[in-house]
Amino acid sequence: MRLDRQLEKLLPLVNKPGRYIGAELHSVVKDEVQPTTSFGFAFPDIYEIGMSYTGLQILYKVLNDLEDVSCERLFAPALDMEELMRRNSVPLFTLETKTPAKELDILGFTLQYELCYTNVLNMLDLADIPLRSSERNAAHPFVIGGGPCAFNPEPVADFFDFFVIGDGEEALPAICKAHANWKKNEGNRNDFLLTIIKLPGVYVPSFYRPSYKEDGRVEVIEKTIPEAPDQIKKYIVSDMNKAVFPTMPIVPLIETVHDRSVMELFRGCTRGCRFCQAGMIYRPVRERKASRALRLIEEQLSSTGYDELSLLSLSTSDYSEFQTLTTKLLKTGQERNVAISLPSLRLDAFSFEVLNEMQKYKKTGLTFAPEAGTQRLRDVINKCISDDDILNGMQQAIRLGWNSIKLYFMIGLPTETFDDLDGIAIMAEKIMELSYKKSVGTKGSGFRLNISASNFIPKPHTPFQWAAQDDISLLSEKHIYLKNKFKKIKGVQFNYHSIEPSRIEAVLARGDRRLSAMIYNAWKAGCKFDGWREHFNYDTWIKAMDESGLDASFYTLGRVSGGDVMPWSHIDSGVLDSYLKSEWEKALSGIVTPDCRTGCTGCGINRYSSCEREGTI
Amino acid sequence: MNRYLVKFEKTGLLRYISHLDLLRLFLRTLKRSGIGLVYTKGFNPHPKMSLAQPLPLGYTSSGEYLEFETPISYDESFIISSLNCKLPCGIKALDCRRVSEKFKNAASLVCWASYEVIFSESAVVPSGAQLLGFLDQSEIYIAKRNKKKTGSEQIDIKSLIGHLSLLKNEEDPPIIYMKVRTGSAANLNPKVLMDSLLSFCNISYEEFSFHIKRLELYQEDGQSLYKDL
Repeated sequence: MRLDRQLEKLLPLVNKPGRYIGAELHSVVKDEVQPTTSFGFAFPDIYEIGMSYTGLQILYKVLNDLEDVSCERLFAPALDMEELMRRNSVPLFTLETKTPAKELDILGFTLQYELCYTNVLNMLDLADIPLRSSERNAAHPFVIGGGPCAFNPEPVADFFDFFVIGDGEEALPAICKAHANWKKNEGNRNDFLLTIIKLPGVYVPSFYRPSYKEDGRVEVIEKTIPEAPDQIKKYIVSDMNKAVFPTMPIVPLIETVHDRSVMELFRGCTRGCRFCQAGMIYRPVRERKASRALRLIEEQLSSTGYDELSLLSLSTSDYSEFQTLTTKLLKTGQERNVAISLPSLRLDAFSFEVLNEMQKYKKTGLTFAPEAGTQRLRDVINKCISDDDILNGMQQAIRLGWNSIKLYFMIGLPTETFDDLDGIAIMAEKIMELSYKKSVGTKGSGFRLNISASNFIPKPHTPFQWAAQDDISLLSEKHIYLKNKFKKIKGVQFNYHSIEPSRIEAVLARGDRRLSAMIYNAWKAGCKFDGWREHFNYDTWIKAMDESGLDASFYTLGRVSGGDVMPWSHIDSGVLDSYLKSEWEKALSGIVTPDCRTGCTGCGINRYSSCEREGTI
Repeated sequence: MNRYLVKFEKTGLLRYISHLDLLRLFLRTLKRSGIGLVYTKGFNPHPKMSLAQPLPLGYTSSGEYLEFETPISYDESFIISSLNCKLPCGIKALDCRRVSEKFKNAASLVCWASYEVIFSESAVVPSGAQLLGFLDQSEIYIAKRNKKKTGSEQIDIKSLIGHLSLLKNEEDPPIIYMKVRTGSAANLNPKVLMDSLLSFCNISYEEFSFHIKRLELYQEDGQSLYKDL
């Protein structure tokens, strides 16, 4: 069934109808021969956000390159569209062929942030697919989840048939191949699940049953069938030079959040910041050779016509061929009239040289994340950068002519005191002084410093998975304290994230399987687009939590992870628990762990994969 | 100086992309085609490229115009074929002409546009007599929000209508053909005219009961933009 006709009636009535039409350059429509396995790649947010996600472009290509598989995209409709769809009984559909989601074989959600969970439920409901995996039958697609949140899939375990943990570009083709075989052999649903649990990275939650202690912590996670693996090891793509990367990405017709060409330089990070989940779960560092990256960039720019290129990685300056690559890219940019943007740079001399060259005429803002205001606290979180590094960097930036700088900090980090908050203000004052010195004798400074504070959220699979999140009143007190400090500093703009969404995110991040009921209740009571400030409704969430008999502070204070078994204990990120534990203890004593490029720090990932950057500096 | 004026059509689902989306699309298409553009000088260089007249979101068209300047000279047919092999389905270059130095710019020449209003099968359509009655009014007032957006004022649109008639085919659903003032000097949105007409005929309608297609843009004297290049 195609929904084109019904859709035609709705499009004139909605905002930005371009979100729902598909038809973009390089989108793939396989409608001549029906492939065996139809895969729906679902992003649980609106088109403009989902299309900015590079993982979508990679997996879209990988799956459509397979003869037996078609991959089409689905996004959460905006509220106006959803209302019209519900009123006119138009179910959730794919952009490519306007096929109802319900008719797909596999519906795969990427879970990039916890606050998208209600959108997943809403999309399933719009698709007329039963929300709980236990209620689905042969007539329904397999609903699967991946992405960083799948590293603790327990809060949404009830809603998914299975999860794919780790890198998807090799795991998904293997799953689709298994699916095509299974479909040809006409097996039942359970047969398929039994086949794929042999594949690395596949987690079928219905094959496991957690039980709980009286105090609420997980006692044990039992397998319900003997064939299920004890530990679900994440899938690791070992060679990025062999990994597929799109040279013909989909070029959106309407403006998206990141509307540009993207090149992923490497996955993983060697820095070991203790709060950072990405830095732990994407280990080890796997680089793409500069020669290959440059070739892919050329092809991508030629095929898309983009006038902007961004490099993607967790720490661009740490790329081993950074100098070679950027020098060549500068030339490419000039020749092709393409603006190059380099996120995640460190404040070293070469980075500045490159940035200055790239933004010679028009300096866009400079963004940097010291995360904490004092050396002591930066040692706790293992953000190895000194006050001098920061101030020297800022001085260089000001001297080179940047007049807008944004600094990111996290509030509520473990062991934080008000002295650490003072440290943020002192740093800001010193930077402003530098800017005044520079402007002496010139016409007005016009220098703006933006200080942005987010709230610390303890994440699973990090050394801070045992940490407590500050409660609402303490975080609020800290915000007000800083706000008052910054009132007195001229030229500095201070803003901070609201606390309530951070609290719900913290609950969901370290949640156990009992949260499925709460998420369902929250969705039922109207929660969706929780990541959007204007749609987030804290009271509804708290009510849903009460109804489910759960206590938010059990999760935010870290009691949930206080026992021997954590809700995500059966998910193996490759990093040893003992390593996380020792990092947590070192954090509390303020001892830093060096970048593992200077030598192995023993996280354990090298049991599964070689570390190409180990001991290289 | 190498300036070109490309006539193109916008059809199918692509009618749901906006004026700015379309500009971005052409910029990328030209980059993909390897046709270089001349950029403005200064701190914030942007390509010398523009569309003659914005097309409202949701309208299809067979008469849109894109104007741009290139550093080197190209054969017109080369531009058409290069664009067409790189454009997404729904946008198609129909013609391309080189523009002389004295040519001001396409946007300033546009004075009229012709449109078709195509009704859906189930829609109630005004009769020919009703149409004549509508045009027979000495003045046709519509409410228009004033510039400060504090209230609305009554505006007579009669002088902005060049032509309005009903085309009837035996098999196809009926079509209203119109030619109305368009451009910076005076402009009548065909949707506004339809609102006024349908309310005169006491026909209530839903948003999707008709769709509007722009056919062509004209100069003051009713001649094509391609005249006197």
